[in-house]
Amino acid sequence: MHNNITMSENKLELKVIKDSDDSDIDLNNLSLDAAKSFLILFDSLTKIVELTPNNEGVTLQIISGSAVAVANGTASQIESVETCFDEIVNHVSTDKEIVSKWRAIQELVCKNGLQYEINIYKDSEKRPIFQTIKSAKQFRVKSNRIRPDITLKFLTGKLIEVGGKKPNIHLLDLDNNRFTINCDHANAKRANKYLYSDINVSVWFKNKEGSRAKYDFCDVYHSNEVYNDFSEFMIDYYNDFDEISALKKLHYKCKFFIDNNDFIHLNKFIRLFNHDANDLNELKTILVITKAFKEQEHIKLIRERIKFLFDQKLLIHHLNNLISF
Amino acid sequence: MITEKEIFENLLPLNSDGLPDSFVAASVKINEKGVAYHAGIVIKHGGISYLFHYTGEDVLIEESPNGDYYFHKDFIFIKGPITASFLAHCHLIKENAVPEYNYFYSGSYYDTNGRYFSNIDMPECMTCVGFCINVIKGYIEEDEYFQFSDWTKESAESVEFLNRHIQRLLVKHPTADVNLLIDNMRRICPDEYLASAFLYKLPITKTKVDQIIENIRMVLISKLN
Repeated sequence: MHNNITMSENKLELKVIKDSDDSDIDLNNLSLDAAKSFLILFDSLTKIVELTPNNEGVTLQIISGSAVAVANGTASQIESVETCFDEIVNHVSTDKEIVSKWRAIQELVCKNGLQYEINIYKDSEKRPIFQTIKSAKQFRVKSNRIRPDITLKFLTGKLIEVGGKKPNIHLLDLDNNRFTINCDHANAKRANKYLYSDINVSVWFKNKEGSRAKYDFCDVYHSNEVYNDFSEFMIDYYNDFDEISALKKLHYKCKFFIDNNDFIHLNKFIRLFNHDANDLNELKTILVITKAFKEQEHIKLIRERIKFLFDQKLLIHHLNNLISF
Repeated sequence: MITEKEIFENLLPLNSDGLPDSFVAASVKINEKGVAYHAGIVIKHGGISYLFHYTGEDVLIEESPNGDYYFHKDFIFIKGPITASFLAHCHLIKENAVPEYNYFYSGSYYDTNGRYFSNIDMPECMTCVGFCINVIKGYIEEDEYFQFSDWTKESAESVEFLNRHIQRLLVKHPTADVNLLIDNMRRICPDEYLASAFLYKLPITKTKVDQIIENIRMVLISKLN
């Protein structure tokens, strides 16, 4: 009976296998491209090890045959590296530095014409990750897009009451939930016309822990189509955790209205962002896309309000910086 | 008025340590004589630097670019936690660029006829500086960034820079009317563009740039070492 004592292999292995002309790689005889590529792999590997916690005892190796860079460790150390790698692939890592090392590897293997192999070994079981790296979207840190505690909500229901000393309107939705929505006098008077009718509204919703939900009126929609369109947009927009991607969506949405010469609906759309809850970047994105239309009759006023909000928030930001300095 | 020392302290290499986490900056690349010959915009957002520029061929957004010979100064008039919107602005321009033409961007997403910039089929020819100026102009709220009328055809310092660029354009468009090209060119040099980042008030006038340009040129040369 065999009595082999095989050491369990736990390692991350990066290999340059073939050069761009398909010739085999020989560590004793590297082309300039192969040498540069190998350097990047070895450098990235070293830094990944450095940035992985509990890395005492991890050793690095360069093996010839092809050009192989290896980091050897214990099962739990390699497990650490693998978990981190998977987080990066799934775009949930927030570790800037380690992401940039893996990105360097990704950029290298994607762009030049050499052939590589990248494997993780856990308890001697080989997991090839080259294809995963090559086909993944560019590795980047998860964008921390923090939603404010005030968000837009879209409500449909029957308007059952209007009034109060501090004006508000009361809506009963399809599930018989009652919403008390604060508004101003002008909007309360407008709403009065719809008493006992079904209406579609958007509201700003403040949900603070331990206190009652507070709703502030934003807008009313006569068209179900527009109401649904805006509502769907906001769901998609809120769920986009990549800040840049979300802002681009905002741009393209505004662009759609402008290209169709539909400044009336653009006005209604922009109103959704006329609130202090919106951040400077959102407000600025709207200002930039509408810059050429400052004087357009349907959006002039709402744009001025957005600009005012932007300037005010920016000023407060600068003042806060001065104070804390 | 800003001193040579202040310029020196604020004109930083691209990959300096200790830079703030987010900013938008004018950036130039210097040659072996310390003269700025290429312009770009550096955006730092979420801790990562991006170089946005027009190479004469392509519009590029380079992440963590190689910073050799690049120096930058953050714009005084673009400050605050707005780098996400500026970066989105760059991505949108790049996304909608018309690649087969010499890249143009008129400085606003929409021209005076309400046409989105990628739908315009008679592009104006542009230098790397012109591109940067238009990107900034499209972003700021003010109608003007550089007061172009201050820069005339006779701007002597720019001739070499202009000629080099015209030659490059003629390679791509051999039948182009050279006079038309010259007329349409923005005659602003990379170092004059860089100077604008040190100025507070818009529009940027030639008078204000001239007040600091010699110091800026001297500082760029000194940075070679």
